[in-house]
Amino acid sequence: MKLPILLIASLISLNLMAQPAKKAANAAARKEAKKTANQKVPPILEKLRGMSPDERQKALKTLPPARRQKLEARLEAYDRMNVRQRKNVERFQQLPPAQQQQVRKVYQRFNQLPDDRKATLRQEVGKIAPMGEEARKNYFNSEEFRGKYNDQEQQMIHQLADSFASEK
Amino acid sequence: MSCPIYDESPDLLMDFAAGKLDWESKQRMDVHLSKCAICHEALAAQAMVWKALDEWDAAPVSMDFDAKLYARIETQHATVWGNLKSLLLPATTWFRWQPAIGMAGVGALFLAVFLLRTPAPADHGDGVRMESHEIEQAELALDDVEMVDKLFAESKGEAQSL
Repeated sequence: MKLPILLIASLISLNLMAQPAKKAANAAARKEAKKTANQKVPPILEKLRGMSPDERQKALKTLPPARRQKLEARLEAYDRMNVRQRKNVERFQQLPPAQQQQVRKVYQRFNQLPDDRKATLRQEVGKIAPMGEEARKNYFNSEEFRGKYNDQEQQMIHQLADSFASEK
Repeated sequence: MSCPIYDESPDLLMDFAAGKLDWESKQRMDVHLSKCAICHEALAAQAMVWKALDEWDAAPVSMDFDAKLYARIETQHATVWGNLKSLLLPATTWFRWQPAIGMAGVGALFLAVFLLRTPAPADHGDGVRMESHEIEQAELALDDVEMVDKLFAESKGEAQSL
């Protein structure tokens, strides 16, 4: 009769021993989930940025040298971004995946425009995005806006300004 | 004549094979067999079985066969009943179950350890190792950063070459 009692006792003690560890693991998971939810930059970039140069070198050591150098240069450029640039990246990160994909598509069309039109469109999006929703709508319906841009450009401005709008 | 197989009267075919049919029925069956491949095949198969049975020589049965058979049945009956008894009667089973209980206990302990253990943190070696998919993810994220930057660069110099 001693054996079953011994077994039950060991199971209970094992369970009790596991409780604090389980709680700690749950707390860590909750903390991590909260951190991820609040994160406004891509977590993978944060991970790389959080590394010391030595650690980063170790992390990227499996890459071919040229690709590694390019990636390191891009990370440095990302580090050098000003507040306004970061804000735009954050806004993009906060978009739903489908809308992010839409922005990528618009960017492909945007890239095919001549440089002067690109500059004009950039300026226009920069002007419209901070507007309130109502003001933005009115502007899109205005003769001024319609007269300045062709249909394709209007659509691109519309989509970009809506995606990066300060107020939605 | 209708087909005996389709009519569900294969006895007719068996009787034909055994030569038991009268002359008239045999004539009709002959005519049918010349036209019906199924009956023809069935008849051939039946003939093969009979041939095999004819050729089979059964081993001679020993004189004490019956006595041996009954003795064997008796022994097996006693063994089965004995096993059942030992399983059902608690006074004798405890001794027999002891090893099984021990094994079950060990199994339960392993199960408990497996279920309750906290997941070990993933081993990252030196703590900074990145999987190739993570690196690709970082490059894609940088593509997005570069795209957004180019979309909103205020001056020519602001958009950085990422």
